[in-house]
Amino acid sequence: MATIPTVPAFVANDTSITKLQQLAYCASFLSVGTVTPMWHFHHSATQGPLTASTWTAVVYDTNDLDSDGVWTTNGKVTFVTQGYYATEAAVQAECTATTFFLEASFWWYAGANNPNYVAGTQKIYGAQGTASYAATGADACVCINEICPVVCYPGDYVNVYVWANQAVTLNTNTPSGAMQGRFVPNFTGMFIRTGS
Amino acid sequence: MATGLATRALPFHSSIRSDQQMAMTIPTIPVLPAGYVAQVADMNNLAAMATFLLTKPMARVHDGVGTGTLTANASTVTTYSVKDFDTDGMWNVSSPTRLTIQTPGWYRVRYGVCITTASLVSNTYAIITTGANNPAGSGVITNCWPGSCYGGAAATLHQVNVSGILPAYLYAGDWISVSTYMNSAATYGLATVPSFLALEFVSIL
Repeated sequence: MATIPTVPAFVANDTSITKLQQLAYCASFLSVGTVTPMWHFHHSATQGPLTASTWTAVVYDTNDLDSDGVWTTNGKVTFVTQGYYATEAAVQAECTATTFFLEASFWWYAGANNPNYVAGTQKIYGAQGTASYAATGADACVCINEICPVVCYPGDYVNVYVWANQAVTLNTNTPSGAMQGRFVPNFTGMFIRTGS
Repeated sequence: MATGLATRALPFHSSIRSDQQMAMTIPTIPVLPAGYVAQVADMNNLAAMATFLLTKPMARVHDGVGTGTLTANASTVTTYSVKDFDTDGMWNVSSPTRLTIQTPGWYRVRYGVCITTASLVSNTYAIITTGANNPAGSGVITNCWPGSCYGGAAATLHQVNVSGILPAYLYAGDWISVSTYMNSAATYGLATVPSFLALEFVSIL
């Protein structure tokens, strides 16, 4: 768990090494990737076919960076350090049968430590929805980017959810043409501000 | 002996403030040449910079109504009725289509537009409008950060989600809004996520 920095106040002829260390920690917290709470996960295996017209949590099964211990194997982020967070995700889907509509969004839930919301309160934010174009062998990708609209507390959590009106498959390596291997479902985020 | 360059008042140097600040003071970064004995003002300026970055200006508002209409073959500016957070007084209910800069600097914009009319293409963009403090003069408009989305024949809605650093240094009084151009008449919606607009301070110079 990252510690929110204490910003020191200096006085004349101050010789406090503690205050200098506090100031140095502020710099680390704001600029060092192993101290600032941040994460980057990606999805490496095929997921689906997903049930049509049903919201499904995207499984981000690979942990690339997690400075604050927020990752769980199903891709859910459980916040550890209190603050405002910016989140980003990409979800790419394929359906070989027909054109489809694809939508993704962040689903945030309050945990037991949140003083502002009852545990289990849901906030959905950052949606993007679009349709594929081709009638067959279609694929589509949505990229969502948003600041979580509430302050996150330890124990709050957020998932990326996806919805499609057809039984789509999330697959790292689709489509099989020129773009193969370039679309990788990602989920990133980082602390951007203190808050309460 | 060289002298420190920091002379500005230090409003935020001792503790992290609440979320409801107004028009924050830009910190002064001290210059500390070799041989110079750092003064208390220099150290407190460094501390003020840390506080500023930990409590930087941010705002997010969204459309809590979802029934507004968009005219065919015209651009419509989104109206926002609900404030999610606003640490710098950027949103005013009397001007509900915009976020107005209080603290000058570079900002990242994030916005989303939710359309609940099927089978349409929407084209969106953020708009910077300069205010009286901008050296360019008032009323200069810059469109930026476009987005586009296609609802598809089977869909009952579609949403655009866009993010990027605004392409100009913004002065107090400049404002940001979002416009959508539709090829047919359409309606905003609340489905899944309503239309929203957010600003995040990213740099002082």
